[in-house]
Amino acid sequence: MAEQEAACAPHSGLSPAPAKAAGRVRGVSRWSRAWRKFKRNKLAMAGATVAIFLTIVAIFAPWIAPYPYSESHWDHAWEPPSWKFPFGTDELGRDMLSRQIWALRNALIIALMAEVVTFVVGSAIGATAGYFGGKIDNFLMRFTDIMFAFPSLLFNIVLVAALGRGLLVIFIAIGVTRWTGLARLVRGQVLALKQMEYVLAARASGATGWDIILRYLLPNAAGPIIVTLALGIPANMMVESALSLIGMGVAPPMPSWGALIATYQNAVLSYPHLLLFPAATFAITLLSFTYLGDGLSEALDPKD
Amino acid sequence: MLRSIGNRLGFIVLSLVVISALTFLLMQLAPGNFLELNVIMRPEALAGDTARIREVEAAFKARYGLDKPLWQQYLTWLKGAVVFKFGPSFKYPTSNTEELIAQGFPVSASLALAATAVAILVGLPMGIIAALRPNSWIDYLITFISMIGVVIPNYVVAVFLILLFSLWLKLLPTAGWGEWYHWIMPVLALCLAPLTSIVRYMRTSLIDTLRQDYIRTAWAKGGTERQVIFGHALRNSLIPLITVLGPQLGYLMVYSVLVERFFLVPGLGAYFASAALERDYPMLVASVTFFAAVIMVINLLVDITYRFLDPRIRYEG
Repeated sequence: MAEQEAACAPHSGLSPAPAKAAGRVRGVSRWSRAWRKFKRNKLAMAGATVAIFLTIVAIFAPWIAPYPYSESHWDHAWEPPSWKFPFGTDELGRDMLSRQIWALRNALIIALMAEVVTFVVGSAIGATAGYFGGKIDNFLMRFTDIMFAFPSLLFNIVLVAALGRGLLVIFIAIGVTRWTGLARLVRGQVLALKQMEYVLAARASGATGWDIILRYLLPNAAGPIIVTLALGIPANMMVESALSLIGMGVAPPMPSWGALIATYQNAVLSYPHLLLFPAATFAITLLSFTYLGDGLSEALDPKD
Repeated sequence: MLRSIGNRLGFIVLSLVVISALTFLLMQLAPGNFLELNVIMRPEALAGDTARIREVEAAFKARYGLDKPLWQQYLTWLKGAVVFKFGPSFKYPTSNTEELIAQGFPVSASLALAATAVAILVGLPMGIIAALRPNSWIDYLITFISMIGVVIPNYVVAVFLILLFSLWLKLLPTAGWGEWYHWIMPVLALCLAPLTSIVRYMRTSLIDTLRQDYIRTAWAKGGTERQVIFGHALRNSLIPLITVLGPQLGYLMVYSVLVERFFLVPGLGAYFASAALERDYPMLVASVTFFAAVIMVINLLVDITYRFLDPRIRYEG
């Protein structure tokens, strides 16, 4: 009903209101239905709670962390957990809890920024290929296939080796190696949606290619895109820490889970807390974000 | 069928050319080269003697053909790559990179194969049990365990394995290579990812098969649980399993980079990681291309085998 109204409204660049209103009318029921479904899923709710808590900790890391991440307490080096240092200290007497809070902050920043890159590159390529079709589609999808064949972890390592290990390089490197899945998904969605009557109506009333993609196609494909992006966050965190595990992550003294795990591998017998806590906090972080993503994918599943 | 295999091979070759050219190009952008990092910067080596430095640089460039234009370097490399000759490594000037690959790859490959074997031996029964009692506590337990393989990366699993076997049980050394017991922790850390796919696949596939008519017929004819499951249901679930396992094998080899680094295993992954750290570009380009080739060839072989085993599937495209 609302769709038809939007479709009948004459299209002009000045008044996008009808299209927007249509989206909102349909949107409210779709999103609230998804939210109701999400609330029933206990695992997803638990994941979301922990993930939100971790995100708050990451945002306020400079104020929450008990010590600066690189502050040395020389008289407390290699200490096991205590009230003063809940996760113990490392060889320079740095507080491991503070270092892990900063590692979380880094991982989250990189994962989110990489998702932005993934979203921009993936949906641009996928939507262009799906909407314009023909030779453009053929070329872009062949390119996507080739990039898909490039083992992404290796490509990441090569990119970081070539461009340096700054924060910017790392998240762009992760983003540009992980867009292929999203590009295929968006292309499929666009191919299906562009047959819809409201798209035809928009075109008939004079909307051009990019207008249609941005205003009609992408918003209606939002569900699966959100799911892919949400599940990409823990995946990106894994890549970030894998890079720093082999010594190609953010530069020290900035902490990263991968670097913490790699550094204390050979200290495990004498100082197990240096390995146990980073591995455990990283595992909990990954689990919470994955359950959140899985819950979203179930809640937004259009099948039921 | 032959024609479509030809198409696939053509695509593989095209991908490898693009991948290697891209890697080659990226290496030119890199800040700081191997020579600067490892020879000139070392004060005791040349002691700031500019004339000597230039001499060494010229000799180095001539040896690796770096004085030629970029496209010529790449074409020379490509010509060698066709016959599996990738030229000398920077880090080990006396060995060619293909020799290093030949040393490291068997280690990585056998680790990946061993992990896959363990995953099959453990994962198949787990998947079957979960499918036979869906939504029971044992199903939930198995699903939870198999979740770990996707969510927790292998090097974090490796940390818990070290804590368990080296610290608490005092059974295994924390790292090393050469003895049989050095295999235990890397294989266990690697096997969780394929284990997860096997369990998930077996569970869904078997639950689906058990609903089919021919299974009802088998029950109706008075078959025991064992006869129905092992004689009738499993057979049809097992063939598609290779499409699950094949791609896993390739990724295991790549992701063993991390496990090898963690447990100090001298596999191709470890060579690759140190090449990236030390800017050993010939080694980097060679191993990236090699890994990509291995993954794509495995996937092609899996597809071909699958189509031989299941004649219902037509080869198209």
